[in-house]
Amino acid sequence: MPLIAFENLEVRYPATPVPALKGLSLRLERGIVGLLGPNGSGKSTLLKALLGLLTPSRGSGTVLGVPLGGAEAARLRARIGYMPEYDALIEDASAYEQVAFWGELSGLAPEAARDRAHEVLYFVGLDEARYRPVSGYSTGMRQRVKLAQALVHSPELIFLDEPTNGLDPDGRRRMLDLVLRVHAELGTGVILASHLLGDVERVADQLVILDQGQIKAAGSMAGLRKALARRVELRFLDPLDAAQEAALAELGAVLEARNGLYDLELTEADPTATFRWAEAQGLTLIQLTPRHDRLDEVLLRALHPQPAGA
Amino acid sequence: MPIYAPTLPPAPDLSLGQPPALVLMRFDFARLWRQKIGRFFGFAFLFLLLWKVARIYIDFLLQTNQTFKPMQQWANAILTQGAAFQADLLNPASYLLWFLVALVGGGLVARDTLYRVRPLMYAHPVAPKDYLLAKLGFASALPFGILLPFALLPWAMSLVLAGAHGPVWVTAPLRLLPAMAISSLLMGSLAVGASSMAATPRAGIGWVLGLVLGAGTLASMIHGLTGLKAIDGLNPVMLAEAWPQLLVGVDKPLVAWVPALLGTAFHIGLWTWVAARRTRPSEAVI
Amino acid sequence: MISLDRASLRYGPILGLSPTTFELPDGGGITGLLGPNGAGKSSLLQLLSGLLPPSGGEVRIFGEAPFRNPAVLARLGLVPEGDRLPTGLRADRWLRMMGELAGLSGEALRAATAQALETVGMADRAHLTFARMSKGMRQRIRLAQALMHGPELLILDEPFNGLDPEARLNLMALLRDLAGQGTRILVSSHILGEIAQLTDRILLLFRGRLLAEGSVTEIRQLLDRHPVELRLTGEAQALARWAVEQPELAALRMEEGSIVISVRSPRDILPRLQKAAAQGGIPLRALDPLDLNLDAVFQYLTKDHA
Repeated sequence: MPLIAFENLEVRYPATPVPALKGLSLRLERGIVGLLGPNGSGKSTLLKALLGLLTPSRGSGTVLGVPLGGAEAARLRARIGYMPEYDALIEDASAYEQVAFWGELSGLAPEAARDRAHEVLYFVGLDEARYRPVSGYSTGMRQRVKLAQALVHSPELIFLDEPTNGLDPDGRRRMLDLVLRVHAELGTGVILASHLLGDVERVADQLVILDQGQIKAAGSMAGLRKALARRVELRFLDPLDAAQEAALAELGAVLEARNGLYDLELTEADPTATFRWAEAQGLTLIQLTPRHDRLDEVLLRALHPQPAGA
Repeated sequence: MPIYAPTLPPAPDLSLGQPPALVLMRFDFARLWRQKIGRFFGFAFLFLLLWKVARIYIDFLLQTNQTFKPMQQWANAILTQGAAFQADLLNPASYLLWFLVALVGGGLVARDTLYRVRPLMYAHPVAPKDYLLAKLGFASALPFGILLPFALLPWAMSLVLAGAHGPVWVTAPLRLLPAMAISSLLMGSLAVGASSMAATPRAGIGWVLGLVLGAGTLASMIHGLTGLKAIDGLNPVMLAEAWPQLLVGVDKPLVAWVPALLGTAFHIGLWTWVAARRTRPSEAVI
Repeated sequence: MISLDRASLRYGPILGLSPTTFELPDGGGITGLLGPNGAGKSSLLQLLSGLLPPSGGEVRIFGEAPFRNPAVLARLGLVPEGDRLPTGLRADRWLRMMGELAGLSGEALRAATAQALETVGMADRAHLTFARMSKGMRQRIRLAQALMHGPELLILDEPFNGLDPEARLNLMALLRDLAGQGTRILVSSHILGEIAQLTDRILLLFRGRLLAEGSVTEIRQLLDRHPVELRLTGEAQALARWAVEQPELAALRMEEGSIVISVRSPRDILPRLQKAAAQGGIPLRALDPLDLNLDAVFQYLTKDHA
């Protein structure tokens, strides 16, 4: 069963002439899906449609096998967890109280919700602090409560909106590790909307790029980030001087040099020649890796398609 | 010996939960309990209740004990036992009750607006009508719950002490309970409607008090200027006091039947409509 | 251009920045200011942009103390953190006001405004009010404001916060252009990936102290407590046979079609590895240093000092 399958799905808000989602066709397997798109690209409309808050005006779609807009669509919400971008926390309640509360709203019995709240709070790594009101929490702890809230009813799909917002490098790494664990250990499908390409690159195995209510690119991460033939990235132990940089061009075309990293198109595929060249120049290579598409290149290409041949 | 994985156990059953409106009401009640604002009001209302009950007992003593015979004339003057006395049972310092409703009810919707949790609620299996039902229910159950002992305790006391001939009519609860329900719903809908217009709980308290006193003052002014008595039907404070009088059958109620019916319907309808509009899912951007 | 000599900043009892000493040389280039929340990034920027005087020590920019010193302030541009602008105001009018505050007037002001708007690519949209602009557009206007008086030093506090990926990439390209034209740029961020994409030179702050300064590669090489991890891709068995012969090897891990080795002194082993590969002695197809990136460096530095 796919996580999501849309066939020409069109969603519009009441009393607006232009649909917010214009005929999406999409099939996503259970995994971690990165959702990229500028502000106003239709991400929140897509979420509202997934939650059954908006009914499709044309086309069809299923989420977790349940058709959108049908009688069952409202019940779908119990099977989806949602972690909003902003601080949707009940400030005067403790983490434990509110996670249990959200569990009950998803249909857990009161006792089950309390047990479950403790379990998910351990899962996200919130220990003794869980009994204090969340108003005194740090950003990292607040994000964890939001994640626990989305997981408490053990949904089959969770939607994470900018889960690393406001976190410092350490907090960001731990949050992304949690996202990976959610999928690996609980088998939960994840849709991760983020402005940070690094986050998406780190955890996602599928990618959807949305712009102006249309899908600009979708598919597996590996498929979208193709290896570029005969392109390598080189880095040297010591910085190059101008003469050495000029000599580098003998190997092939230097396409870009940034922060000591050279993006190079080689004349031949075998890297032995490159090692030999460095040897001859008296330089020491510390990096020689085949070049893949970077996510920012994939994104820019999807948002601004070049006409063929340009 | 098995090794248990340090991860979450299998999915719990999602069909055993309580209705969302009940869950929401319980959460609001837990918060009210935690906030401990009940202490002051608890004392105040308890004192009023004791006074009402004590009056029944004093009346009983005066009626039965011969030593108090000379005082009976005087006592009958202050202890009216007609319809007005019955209606007055439900008047435990009307302004105090309104103040409590404002203090608690003002934050009911506004707090969710401030913390931005309503969109998250609608992302759960909670319909807007569940939300509205919970908030209206809680805001109305609060005054109803406080009024309940005022209606029942003096009645029970009178029944025990003096049987059918006590100062409180045997049938009083049949008249008082519906009156309480109407007054409470009026209070609740006003509080929820006002709270839905506020951005913070404190502003919500202001909104409730402003609406109650504002509507009251406006009605009194028009009444004073034009001599039109029916306009008092727009005064929420008078309406809440008038319903027990109407149902008990007082000679000169604060507000007559027709304006009371129209005014109450207007207030409940308007404020419920306002609250419903202000808590729609589309209003809260996900 | 910038020099700090035991400069510190305290807000009453609260520590902003411990006594810090460093120097940034003249000339263009981008320096990233990194650190977790509360590390002292904003405190340092407040000292540098002359918003606050140091509680102790000295701050010098262009050789002078910046606090309440118009001579210094006229030569630096600041883009503060946040997105608070008067919503109803037109961007060009706001820029004109800011330009007047910077001492420009008349034709010079008009030319400077046009030039700055051109640079940030907002010339055709400056007549919009802030309310009608996207976050990325407002960020560009804020940058234009800092550029109007042609500063030699540009300070940006968390400029990428809340921007979508495309706006982020555009802003980075813009900053790189400016740096190429000789402006010295100091950018703070708590997102390592952004800084890594933008520049190699970093200042790393942690708990109010300066932990490291320099290029990521240099800093990594100073961290000799942590062996460098290299992934060698090729026929794993043959590569492993070569690797175990090497005296610098600290650890070896086999992977599918590659091996990962930890070495203490990459300067010794890398030339030998290169030589072997050049002579065809080992089947090496790719060489990837796993922890020679900003993430790893940041983690090592903060863990060592925690």
